Amino acid sequence: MLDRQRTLDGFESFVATTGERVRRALVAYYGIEIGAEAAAETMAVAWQRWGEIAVMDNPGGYLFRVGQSCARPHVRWRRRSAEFPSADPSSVSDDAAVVDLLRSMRRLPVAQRACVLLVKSYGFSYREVAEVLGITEAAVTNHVHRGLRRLRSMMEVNP
Amino acid sequence: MRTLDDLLIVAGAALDERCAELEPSTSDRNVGRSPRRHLVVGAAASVVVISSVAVLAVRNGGDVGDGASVAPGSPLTAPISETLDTLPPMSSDSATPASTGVPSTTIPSLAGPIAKGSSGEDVRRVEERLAELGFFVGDIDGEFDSLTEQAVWAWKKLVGDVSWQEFDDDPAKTTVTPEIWQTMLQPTDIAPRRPQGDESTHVEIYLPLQVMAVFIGDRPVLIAHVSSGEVVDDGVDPTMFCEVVTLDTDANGEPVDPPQEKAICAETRTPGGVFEITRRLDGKRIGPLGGMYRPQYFNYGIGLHGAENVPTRPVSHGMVRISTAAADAAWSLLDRGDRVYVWGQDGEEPEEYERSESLPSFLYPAPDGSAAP
Repeated sequence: MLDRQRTLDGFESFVATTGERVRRALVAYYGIEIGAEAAAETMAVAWQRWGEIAVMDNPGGYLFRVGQSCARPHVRWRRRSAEFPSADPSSVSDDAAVVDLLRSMRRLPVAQRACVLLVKSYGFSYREVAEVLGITEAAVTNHVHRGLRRLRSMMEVNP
Repeated sequence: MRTLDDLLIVAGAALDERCAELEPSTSDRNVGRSPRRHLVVGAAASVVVISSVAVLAVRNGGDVGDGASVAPGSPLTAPISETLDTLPPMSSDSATPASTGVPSTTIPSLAGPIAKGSSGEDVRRVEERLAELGFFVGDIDGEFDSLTEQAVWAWKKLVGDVSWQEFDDDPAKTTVTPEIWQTMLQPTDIAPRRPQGDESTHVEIYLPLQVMAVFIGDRPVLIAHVSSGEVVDDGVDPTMFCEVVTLDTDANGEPVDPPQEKAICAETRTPGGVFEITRRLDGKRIGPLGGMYRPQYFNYGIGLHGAENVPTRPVSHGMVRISTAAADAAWSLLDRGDRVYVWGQDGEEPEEYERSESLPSFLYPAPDGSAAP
């Protein structure tokens, strides 16, 4: 007999941890509007298949790919790079320096942007980022270093 | 002055805050408005309740197999009205099979046949159903455009079991009649022919059907109509072509400087075999034989790429063409190292090709230096 409350609690804590990581990765790729929508749809999938997902080795990696396919119908390839951070970048923050930074991040290759955001903005470990994005830790290291270097040169701020 | 590291942290927080402000979208969901739990509530509310309960319960009973059918009323298309608080109790002795997740409203039939150029709710329903099954439809917008058309083609060939030759000759190949729609609604299991048994991503290309599918964790996530290497009338053997081309890369894609003009011949063969994605180029590549969008190579110079023109018959010089929009989706789903299984035009299984048979046809000089075919 399934314990409904325990199942729901387990799912809630999953959403708060892994789910949040997947959402942030999707926002890094697709911007706020599409990323958050894709994340919500992905969590619906996670709930529907909770029995399998709860016992997967890398549910975050699986759900990130699900999220990418959820985002897919919303992304027009010509404007893809324009989706991050948002359809309206200046609405993301009142802080002009932050908006500038986000606009610069728009110009990074998407994997570099995601690794920089997840490691430097949110403090995830290289291993956690590698798992959710489905790449190696070495690739994450590369992306973070190159991404930061490009951002520094774009922004001419002190390292 | 703040450092880059400081700004990155503030930027991350700003992104999180903007996300938290977004409400669960789509008017289909009656969702409670608690922002902290909105992901949980949104998730639970967007599931057709009976099917989710039944799936978990029946899974405990052990008789839901890997290829579980997708019922017409599954989450992405059914109207939703349940919230977290009204979930019925789950019990492990539920006799409700997974496929009765259909809500009390039945899915309406099509008013009439639709085809390219049609628009409206009927088109949207078809797009949604095809997308739900894993077919790439482009935007789900109620407009029957060329992407919708290619999705219908892919469905007719893969699920409708029509060969590309018969299909190519059919003047009504794009039309979706009310009868065809009813068939589309039936529980359909599109399973990989080579299940990997894990969460990996792999590609299966069925040349005799001119259809490809990307599977993640053995579930179809992108099924698309393709046009591969041209074949002669028997439908199996490649044709030969001779052209004057400008070669600025060699057979492995490495640059050749300066570019050379040559009269060359080759077979338009897409070989069968088991491969993996070796190189990917982001952007449009003008190869010696034409434009390719976001090519993902898996067999020397043969790969998957986006093209403007993906007709019903195989017409390429060997590459596997899909629409440019599908190429974008394939780009984000695939990566180097992902396995690619190709069923050749001669109907053999991918593993049955000798290594030499799996090699593509390399360009060779025209016999008399001319470009006459």
